[in-house]
Amino acid sequence: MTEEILAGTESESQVLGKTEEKPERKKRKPWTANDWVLVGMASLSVIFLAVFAYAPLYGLTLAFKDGDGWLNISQAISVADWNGFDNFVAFFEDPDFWNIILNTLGLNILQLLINFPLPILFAVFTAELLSDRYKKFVQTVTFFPHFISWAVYGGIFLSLFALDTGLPALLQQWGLTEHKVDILGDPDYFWWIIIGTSLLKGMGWGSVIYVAAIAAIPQELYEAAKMDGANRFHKIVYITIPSIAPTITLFFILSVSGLLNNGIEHLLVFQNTSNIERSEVLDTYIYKYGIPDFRYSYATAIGLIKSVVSLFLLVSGNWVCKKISGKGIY
Amino acid sequence: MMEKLTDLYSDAYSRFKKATFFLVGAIVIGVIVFAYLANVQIDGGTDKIYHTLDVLFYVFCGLLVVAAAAVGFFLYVHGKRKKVWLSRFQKSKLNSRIKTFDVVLAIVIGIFCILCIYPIIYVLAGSFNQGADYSIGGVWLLPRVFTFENYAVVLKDADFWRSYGITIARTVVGTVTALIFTAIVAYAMSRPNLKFRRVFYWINIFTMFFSGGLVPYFLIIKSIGLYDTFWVYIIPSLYSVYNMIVLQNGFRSISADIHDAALIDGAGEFRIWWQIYMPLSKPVLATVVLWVAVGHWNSYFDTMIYTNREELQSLQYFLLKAIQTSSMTEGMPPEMMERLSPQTLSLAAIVLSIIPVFCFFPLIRKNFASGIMVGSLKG
Repeated sequence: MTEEILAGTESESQVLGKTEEKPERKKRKPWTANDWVLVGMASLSVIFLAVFAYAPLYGLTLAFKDGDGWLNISQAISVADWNGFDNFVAFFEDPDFWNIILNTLGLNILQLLINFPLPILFAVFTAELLSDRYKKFVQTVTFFPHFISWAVYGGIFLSLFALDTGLPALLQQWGLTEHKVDILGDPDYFWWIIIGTSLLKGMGWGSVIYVAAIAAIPQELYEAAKMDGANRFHKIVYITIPSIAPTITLFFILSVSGLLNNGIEHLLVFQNTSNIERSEVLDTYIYKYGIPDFRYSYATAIGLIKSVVSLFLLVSGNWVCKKISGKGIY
Repeated sequence: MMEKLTDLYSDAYSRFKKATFFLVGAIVIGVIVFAYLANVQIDGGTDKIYHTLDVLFYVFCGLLVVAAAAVGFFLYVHGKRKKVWLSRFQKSKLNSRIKTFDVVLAIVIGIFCILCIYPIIYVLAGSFNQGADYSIGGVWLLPRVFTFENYAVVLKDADFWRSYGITIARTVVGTVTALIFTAIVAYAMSRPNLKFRRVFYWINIFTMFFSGGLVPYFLIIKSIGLYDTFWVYIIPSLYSVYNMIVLQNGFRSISADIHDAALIDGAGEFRIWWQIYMPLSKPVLATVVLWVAVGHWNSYFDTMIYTNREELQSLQYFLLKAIQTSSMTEGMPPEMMERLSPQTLSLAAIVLSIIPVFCFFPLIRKNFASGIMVGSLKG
């Protein structure tokens, strides 16, 4: 008991190092009941994360084992032989490899170019609306889709774009297109479906954070600028945008680190066998091989590549932002 | 005395104005709805129904005339008030500031709003349309052959209700447990006197930056026996580091004096958390509750991976399957199949699934941004 207490205070003072006051360290106060309660409360997170975040790290060893094809995944990890980097090599040699990388990066870079700046512009311009009632209305309407699931919102688009009953038939009927355009089945449209639907669903919500940031800008700045003869565009460019720049930076870093992540719930709604050529990305590939096809090791290996690259992107994105603006996220 | 009287008068006046506004609004909506219903083809409609609708339409038209007359009379009697609207507008800064830019902006944003909400309108139109007629195509704004049959069929669908129940259960149980669990940890992490604070902090933060990925996670779910049980919806989402940080920052904004006072009065940390900190941080708690609840309500991927039995299907997964595979008319007698189509049935099911979100939406809207700025990553 006393040993534990001693060990506890020691390592705590090591960790907190500079901030700890020196005389207190000498006294080595014993832990009070409340200290135990607090540590117990905080330990709940450790228990949870040990199971659901750290134990899966052990599962990463599957990436270096020959665990494909076992029906029981627990067996796959304990019994399978080591096979070095075979799983990684198999992925690089896969004929679909370049296609998947192209889709993953292409889709995400498009999202970064379109779906990242538009909510910012949306927030800036909604703030410019004159009528408060209209502003409120716009916010309410654009938020609503965020609270509907992809299964439903995407599902609605599946009906809307259905070849014989939805928009394609209607456009033909109105004489806007010569033939029915197969929006859902044509791989060329897939990226734009994803970009468009995520804009419609996410723009209002994506702008919330910037709306809050804009609301926090002191009004005096605008008044002072007005005295100096600034017009509205001056105000936007020289006050609003610089004021929300830190928020933009933060979310830019997060978006860059998510360059290999696609919203799988979103993609799986629209993915089908005829557009697979443009709709297969890393996430859906991992899911498909990992769970229904029992290729555990193969999928784990790809997942590991993804995690490592994402971490690298986060760290380097943060580094670049620190160099440029002097502020990062950690 | 005089001032009070005018106050009273203007208060009553504004309330009267509001009431009139809603009443007239309701009448106008009624006129539009019945104007539409009286002219559209109704599935299985008899002369009696058409006749009733016609009568209702005329009744509402009459009401509108009466209301217009009443408002006009009121404005005439209170002649001074008549020009209030106009002069207020003319005096306001609003008028002098309006430029082409504002008009264009309002229109562009308005168009985006319409696009945002159009899918919902489409779903409503389709769900009230007769199935066979819908299959011809071309329904896009209003039902062409009006019917309640889609809803009647979906409301009798046992699978639909079971998945609805699963989703409600997981949302309620999952949100309550996750909130309590996360708040306990967040409280401890918010205390500066927590021992090993840094260690706890880094154990938490690391998981935000690096994860094992889908398959190893699946492995854990399977090996601790959660696979294909109801608890797979609850336990893995008990805790999230991001929500913990948001709650922690909320707890931190409470004055330390309160904590010290409670401590002197002899309350333990656990009691301080439950009896003082939890009630004091309701806004932040509400924000997190909404995030967690919406997440539970909307997710379908976990049903797809971690469950196999049909009894555990969540509502969203059921809907997705219904749309993608047109499965809702399976096992129906052929005479029903002729009139119904799986698409309109799924659309009706979708509308029924959105209703709770729609009901809670005012609440959601009120709380949406209150906690969002709190959750910056600098813990």
